Amino acid sequence: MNKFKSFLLSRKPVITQISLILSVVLLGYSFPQRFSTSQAVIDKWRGANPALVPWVEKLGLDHVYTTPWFAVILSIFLLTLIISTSDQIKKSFHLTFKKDIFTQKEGTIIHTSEEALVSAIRKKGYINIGTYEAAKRFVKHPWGYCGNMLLHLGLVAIIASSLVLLLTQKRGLLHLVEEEVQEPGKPWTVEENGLLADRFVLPDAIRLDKVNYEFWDSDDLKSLSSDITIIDPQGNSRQYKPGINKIITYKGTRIYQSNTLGHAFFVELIDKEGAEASTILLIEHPRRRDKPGHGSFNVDDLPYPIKANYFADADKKMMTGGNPLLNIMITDDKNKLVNEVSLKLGESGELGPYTARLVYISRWSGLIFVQDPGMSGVFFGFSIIIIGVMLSYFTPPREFLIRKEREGYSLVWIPTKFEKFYEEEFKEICSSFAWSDGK
Amino acid sequence: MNNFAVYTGLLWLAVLMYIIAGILNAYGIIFRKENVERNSYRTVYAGLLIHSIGIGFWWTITGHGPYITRNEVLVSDAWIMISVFLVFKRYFPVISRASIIIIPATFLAMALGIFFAPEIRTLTPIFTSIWLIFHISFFKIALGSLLIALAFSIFYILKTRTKSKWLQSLPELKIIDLYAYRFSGFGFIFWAVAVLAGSIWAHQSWGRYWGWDPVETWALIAWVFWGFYLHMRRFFNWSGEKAAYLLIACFTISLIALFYTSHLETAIHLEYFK
Repeated sequence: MNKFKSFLLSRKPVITQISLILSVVLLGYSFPQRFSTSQAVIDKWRGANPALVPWVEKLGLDHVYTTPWFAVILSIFLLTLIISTSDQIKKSFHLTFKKDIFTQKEGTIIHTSEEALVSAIRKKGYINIGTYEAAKRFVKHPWGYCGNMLLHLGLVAIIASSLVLLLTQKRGLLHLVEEEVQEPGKPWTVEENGLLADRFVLPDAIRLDKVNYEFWDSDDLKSLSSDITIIDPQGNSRQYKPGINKIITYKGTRIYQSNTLGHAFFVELIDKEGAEASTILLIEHPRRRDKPGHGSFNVDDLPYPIKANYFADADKKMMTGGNPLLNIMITDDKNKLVNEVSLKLGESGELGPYTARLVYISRWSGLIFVQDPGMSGVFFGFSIIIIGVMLSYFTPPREFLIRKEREGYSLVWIPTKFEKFYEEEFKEICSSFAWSDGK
Repeated sequence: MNNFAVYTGLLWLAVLMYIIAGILNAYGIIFRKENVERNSYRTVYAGLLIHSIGIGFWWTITGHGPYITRNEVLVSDAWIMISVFLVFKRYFPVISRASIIIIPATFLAMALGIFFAPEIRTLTPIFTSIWLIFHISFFKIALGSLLIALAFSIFYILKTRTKSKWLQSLPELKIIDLYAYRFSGFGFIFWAVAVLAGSIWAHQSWGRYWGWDPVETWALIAWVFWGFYLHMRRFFNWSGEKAAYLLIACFTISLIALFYTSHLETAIHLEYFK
């Protein structure tokens, strides 16, 4: 066991583990990651690097932080940290309450009474920790000895909590149109689960009642929230209003307002034979009143890919007008424009072989649902690290040892860090009394 | 006179004061004219007052703190750099010589900030969290502390390698080395608090505490490098010139993390500068 412990804590394995983790970060940086990159960018990257695609799929290089091999690396690192932390706990306990306070350092002989010397030492903020073998030990900031221990403990808490998250977290994104109901078990717009997590199922049905938003005069988003109703299996309903930075917690699931929003256009397409196809085009809200929001769609039973954009206001004078202007374009396989039509609510027009009609317009927004046990462990760990480092750097401990000698008291000063900064404390005490070299 | 002209005028006036202060300060330190050096601080305080009025004025115009546009970011960075230095100088008078690097760094950051024309940007709801304020403020304070550490590392190298007379007025090499070590420790702590506040903000806004976007990744890399530097000093007894060069490398990585990565396409933080 001891051999294994010393192997794990020796320099090469520790450096190897840190290098492996940094390499994963580098991989995550080099390969577009699914959770932070749009599908279009990923597809483009795959098209440009076909030789790498099999490796990406085999090794999960497009989601490195949620791969089993990353979990293994983290687990080994966590084990190393736990062992190192247990050593640090023993060490800080020993440093604070050690009994073997014999020091090789020669003491300075102070010619005064014990009371006077102790009083001078106490005035400098030193605390009497104990007396061992006729030597009294005074420590300034003894809690500083816990700094490294807390630093290690914090790292353990963060990595352990991150592992719990990596294995068990559940995240789902829903793009809901006003009045739309999402039943538990229905597929998410985007779902991302931990390695050991089951499918993420909503605790109860959710209905988006209304999307509320405002824009500044500069066209930047001013506020965004959603009125939602949660309906349990007995039919009881409760209203909530998640907004940006206003989180709702319901049955252990946190509900976030995503910053995605837009309009849903209900379009009816009728071909020359009179066959009808209806579709709902969810397009992101334009960022500026004079610039359209865009979307690309593949509609079932339609041979053409559809591209669409819209202005929030047909006159391009405001961001929240009730009169959006929708442009629908159909393209061929080579992305070449076949035909296009511009529609306002209730209008219809020719779109290639179809007659398109804009039947209804509604708003949609994104809601994020999260179950992530272990999250508080991450923040706790980080806080512990900061406290540990603060204790270490703001309150470095230093000690005085005093022992009765024939002609006075032997005084030894032991700084643990930044000796030059604090040596005045020792010099001032010596200069307050008559003293002589202890040699 | 319109608001933009008033704001830019105040900033230029502050830059001018800092430039005068920088010249007086360098002259005072190099030629050991204590009076001139003392007066340079009066000019710095005058510059800081005008600088503060400028920031306060712009705050009332935009309705939010100085942390949205490039201009605001750099102008407030400069304000915090000089303020952190002046505050620390009260408690550690030995660091006063670092002024020869801090004051020029301040007016350079200000001048660069002014080149990015000020614009009025409104605050999107994602940026209204109190954790964002902590996140940004602590990064700026960390930068101020690390700049002092950098100054001492440069002093160490200069004093070891050159024979300039003015360098003799600096403390002995051991002390210079210790101050670089100490202030990098402060910077490391403030950097950690900034990252923690940022992750709480991200958790509050997006439901995830870490998104591995370039800014987050580089902030972590920089923090790990500072941790490595402190570790090497504490447990492997690194000191002197070797440590000074490592500190300069860590500072360079921090600058990349703070000023370059936020402009990368994939960064969530790019939202700031759109």
